[in-house]
Amino acid sequence: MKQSQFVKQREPLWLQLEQELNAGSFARPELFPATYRQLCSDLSLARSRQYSPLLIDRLNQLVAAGQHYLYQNNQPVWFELRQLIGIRALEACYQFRRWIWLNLVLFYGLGLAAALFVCSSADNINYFMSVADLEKFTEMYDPASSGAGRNAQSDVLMFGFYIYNNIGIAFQTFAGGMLLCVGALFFIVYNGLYLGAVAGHMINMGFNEPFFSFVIGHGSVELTAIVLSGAAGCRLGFSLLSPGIYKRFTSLKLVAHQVMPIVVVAFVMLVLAAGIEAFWSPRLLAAEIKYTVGAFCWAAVCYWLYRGTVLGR
Amino acid sequence: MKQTSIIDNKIGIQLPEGVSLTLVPAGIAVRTAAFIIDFIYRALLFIAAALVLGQVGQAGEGILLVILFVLNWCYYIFFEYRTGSSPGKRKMNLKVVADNGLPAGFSAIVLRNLLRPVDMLPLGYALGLVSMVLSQNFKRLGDWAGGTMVVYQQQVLPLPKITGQALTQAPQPLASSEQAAVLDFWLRHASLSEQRQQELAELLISALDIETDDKVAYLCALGAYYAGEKA
Repeated sequence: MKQSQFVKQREPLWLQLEQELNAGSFARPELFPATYRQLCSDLSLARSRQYSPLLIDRLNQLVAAGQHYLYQNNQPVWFELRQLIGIRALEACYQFRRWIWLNLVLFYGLGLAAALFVCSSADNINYFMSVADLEKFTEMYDPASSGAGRNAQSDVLMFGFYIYNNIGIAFQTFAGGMLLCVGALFFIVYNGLYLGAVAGHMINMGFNEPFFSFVIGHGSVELTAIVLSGAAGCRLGFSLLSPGIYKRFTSLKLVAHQVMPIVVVAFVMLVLAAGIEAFWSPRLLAAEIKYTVGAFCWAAVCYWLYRGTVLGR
Repeated sequence: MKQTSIIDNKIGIQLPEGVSLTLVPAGIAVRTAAFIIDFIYRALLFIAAALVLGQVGQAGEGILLVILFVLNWCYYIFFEYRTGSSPGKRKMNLKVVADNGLPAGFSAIVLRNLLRPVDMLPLGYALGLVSMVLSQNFKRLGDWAGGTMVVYQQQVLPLPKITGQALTQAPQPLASSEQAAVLDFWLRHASLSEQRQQELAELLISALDIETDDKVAYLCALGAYYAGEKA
């Protein structure tokens, strides 16, 4: 068949499809898949009969537009997110439970070691931070000054700061894992040591109650989120180090999609943590109330981790 | 006519419908331009927010930090998931697709954008540039992990409406690539200037080894013949 004859025969179909794709609405939507397959076969015919490249280009572009329409994302974002957080995150936690346990042990182990090291001699804190930082921390939790200068305005400021800073760091922890685990491990080790040292220093100073009643609430979600993003990052980097039966970049792609829900959960946890840290933790309430609420938060986080790493659903 | 293979960066993707779709991955220059446009948009949004929220005091600063977070991390995810391209990419006629040519899914979009910090290392997207240069489809590291690539958004161009008097027979048997060249000349010639038509026709005629006076008219008639127009 010559090109002109072919075009004359098929053109009405192409024009109709082009119009409908541009408008995004179809006279008979149920016929679209069949029409699209018809178009694909036209492109295939045009190629094999070596028609003009112009015609082939036009059909190729029409097929691309049709394919884009047929396979487009038509689920709203919140639906995807619910699916991710409710189901796939728990499955991913179960699949990578060893990585989560490893990071939990590493993070809290180093934290405990640093705390004990600082507790053993008050001077050891100087290994971890500068004098200026030390004064800042000491002043922050000094019972004599605590609570002064906080109001609704500064609560919102701190909320913004926690969102911007903490979630940014969690995402960087995950992304850093892609550098053969190094970035993720660095953040886990650094944060474990640093936070442990701060806790040890507070015990040395005798600020136990203001410090622990402040951190217990948001610490539950915040520390767990750091561990989760570290675990996700480590697994991502390990897929490059040990790709198994796949090519390195194929393995990276597979694993990245598997660990992604864990990062989304870490994100949600950090948003919660920012809210608690900005609006609940600085309230001047009896330590008992704060410890009770904190224990409730920890119980909720532990229950979630149990569902994820042990049950997987 | 001597056969030369054309150098281009088109890639063919096999569709389940049994045909291969041609896509053109976007290179470094055009993607950098898209990035700069997006950066300007984000900076303008941030400045506008800062001007308004600067009046509100400390709470305003807090909200501004949340906005900075959203502009840094969620801007690309939101637009690329909704339409396949951020405003800058749309300006440069680009879109993000999955490796198989389909619209990229939510987790692919999230991954390619969460991994931007690695591509930015050590500064100015250096690692991403190296990865793009070394990979076939200009993938930065985020694209590798997400299984995505950035391609040119193709416009559906109308076929030129051309009819004409055809030759009754070909002067000599032509190879199919030669026929395609003649056909293409016939279809495209109306969109070219007279001089350019002459120039191209001379090249083509000499390559085909044909003797004729009015080269443009002759090639058009030959093209019409191959298209199957009436003589």
